[in-house]
Amino acid sequence: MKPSNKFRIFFIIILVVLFGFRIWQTTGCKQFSSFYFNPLSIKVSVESNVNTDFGMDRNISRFFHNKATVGIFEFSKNFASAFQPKLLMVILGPVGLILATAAFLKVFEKRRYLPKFHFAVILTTSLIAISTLNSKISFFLLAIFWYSFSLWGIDFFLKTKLAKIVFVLLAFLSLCYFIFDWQMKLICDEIFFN
Amino acid sequence: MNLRKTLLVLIILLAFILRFYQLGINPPGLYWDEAVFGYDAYSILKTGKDHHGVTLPLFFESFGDWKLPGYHYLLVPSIAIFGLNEFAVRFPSAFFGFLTVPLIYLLTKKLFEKSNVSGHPFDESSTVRSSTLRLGLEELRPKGLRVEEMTLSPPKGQWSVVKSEPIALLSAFFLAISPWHIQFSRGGFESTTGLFFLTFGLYLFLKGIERKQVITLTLAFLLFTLSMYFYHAYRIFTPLFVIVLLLIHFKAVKKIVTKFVLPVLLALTLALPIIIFTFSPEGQSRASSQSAFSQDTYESARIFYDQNSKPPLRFLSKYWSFSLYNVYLAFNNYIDHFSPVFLFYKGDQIGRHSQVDMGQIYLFDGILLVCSIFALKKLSGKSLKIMLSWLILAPIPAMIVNPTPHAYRTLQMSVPLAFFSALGAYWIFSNKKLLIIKVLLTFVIFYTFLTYLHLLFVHYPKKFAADWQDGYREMVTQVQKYQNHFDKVYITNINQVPYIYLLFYGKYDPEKFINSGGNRDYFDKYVFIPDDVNIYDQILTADRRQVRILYVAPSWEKVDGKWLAAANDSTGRHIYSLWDLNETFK
Repeated sequence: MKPSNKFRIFFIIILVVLFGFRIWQTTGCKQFSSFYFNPLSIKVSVESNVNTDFGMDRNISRFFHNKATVGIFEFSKNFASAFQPKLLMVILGPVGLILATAAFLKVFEKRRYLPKFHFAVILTTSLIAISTLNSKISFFLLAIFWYSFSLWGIDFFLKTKLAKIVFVLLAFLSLCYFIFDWQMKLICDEIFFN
Repeated sequence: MNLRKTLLVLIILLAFILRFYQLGINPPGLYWDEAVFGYDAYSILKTGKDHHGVTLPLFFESFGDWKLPGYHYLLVPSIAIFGLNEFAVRFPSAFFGFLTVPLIYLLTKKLFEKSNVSGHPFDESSTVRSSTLRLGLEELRPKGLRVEEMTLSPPKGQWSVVKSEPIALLSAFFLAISPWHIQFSRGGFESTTGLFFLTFGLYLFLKGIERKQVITLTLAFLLFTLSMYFYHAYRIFTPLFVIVLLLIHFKAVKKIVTKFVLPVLLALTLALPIIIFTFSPEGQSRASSQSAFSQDTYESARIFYDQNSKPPLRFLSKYWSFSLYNVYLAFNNYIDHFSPVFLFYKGDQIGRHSQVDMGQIYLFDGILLVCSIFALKKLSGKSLKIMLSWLILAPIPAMIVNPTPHAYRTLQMSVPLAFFSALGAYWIFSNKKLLIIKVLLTFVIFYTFLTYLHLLFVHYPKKFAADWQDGYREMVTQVQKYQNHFDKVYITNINQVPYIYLLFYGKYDPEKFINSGGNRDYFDKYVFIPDDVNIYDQILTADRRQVRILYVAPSWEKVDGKWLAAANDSTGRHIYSLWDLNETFK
């Protein structure tokens, strides 16, 4: 076995343990945060903005504040909230976030179809997350696909000896991060351990 | 005038209009920091002292913190020309914000020049500048192309200097219409000016490296130092950025290291007062009052963890470390600034710092920034490193203080973001295949920009008047109208410091204020009282019959007296009422 493959396997084991630890921490979560997109927010936003334009021609006001544009804005806002770096940091930890960024850059490489497909799955999962009311399922779906996606970035830490040391340091920092961030406020509205 | 010049002029004109149109009335009102900036500058203009009586201060005492001097001194000529008003206070910010637009155009062009393309055969050590070669190329030069452009064929796959023109124009355009940059250009914010000096410093630094000129490098370092005298964030960002710049240009710097001695020494000497200030209690007042790191917070988090976290792990609380916990907080604060919700949807939650119902930048910028990843390959080398490090370092000053994300402390991000948006736009628009996407994107950019204008000029003054403490101009006008009939004027501190508005809008003689020992509690016939005390307890019994009292009360307070007038803000919201109290004491 090539030394780089040995390291790859070693790093994957570290990551599995780390991510497993995070999932284990969520067992006390009684209420997961929801990404659910409520279409009512479109109506509320349009009405509120049209009211602010009091005295202005209604057609002009409607040109700027209509269900189509506000709908795109509000929907994409919910969708983007599933990609907040802070949320990803809570799920993946610092090392996972860097790995996910490295993996994301691979999506743009030519003839790299598997990372592209994997990222498309994440996009779909995020869409599911904002359209389902079951926040627990949303979280686990997102977490699992982000964890697996981040593994594409391992190559980034296999290039040099220094990078390998940095990986181990980051893994340790991630563990500390998970311990400090035990309440996971971005993914868990209510956490309680007996 | 050719198309390039016409476009540049139009972009600059657009930047000017967006920063200066209705500058005095939108944002509505005047925030207390702006008021104290203006009055201190007015005081310096009239007396050579700030309103605390300190002669030509190097650091200005403000409300609970100390301000850096750059903006105050820039305001002196502005107030001398335009008078003491909102426009004059915002003028330097709008002016330097406007100037940053042509500057980013020049900077982008500079970034594409040979010295910033790594691995380029004609790097800084080459002899490409020799007159012989220039003469030869001059003869071959096609119409409209400069000699420098011809000598710059970059490594395969990278964009040449010829591409710099459209990208530079696009960078200028995206900064010209950047809601983030416009927001801070239209208020009396020091950071906009600091950003100009930083950008100018970078431009001259690149030019100095390329030409190996001591004078240009000296100017660059002077501008870097100057940026630190404008806003606190640059005290952290500028030194870090300069160190990274020197590392990026390490080889070139090593070759001409002697030419850096004078600029660096001069910069260090000039920065000495600010270095001393940084470590003084005054310099740390702001950072400590808003610090994200507190021993108490740490202790309570540790105890909470010990009592409530997952049982098998509770013992770990013994091994918690204050430093490590702060790293955790700083990590979170840092990363907040790259949140898409902050950048594209909600912006900073402080109303003065962001546009209503949108993010710090446009939603379409998100698409362009993603597309810029494709373009990064075409821009390898130093330019990429410079702009990426700028973007990565920009949130560092904001990660050690609360709240986050903070748009003001990270205004530096707006320049690299405009640059990367331009790269993304160029990548899309130079692609021969994406016709439908190009048409759609043009429409989206145009529509989003129109919506932004609508929000800026129609919604913002209505929704955020309170954030700008609007209503004080009206209050002072009403007080001036009635005060001659009264011996004393009692004013309630709704927003803590109404005295500064009396000084500012009343154009009160600074000499008189300083010599009479005036302060935030009283001066002349004005007395300022907290809003939670009973006015009748404040007025001496002896005064009740002997002096005529004008009471400026908050709108919600029921006063036993004769109502004189109301002071409203620009949206018609009732802020203050003026009462004649003598009717009560008769």
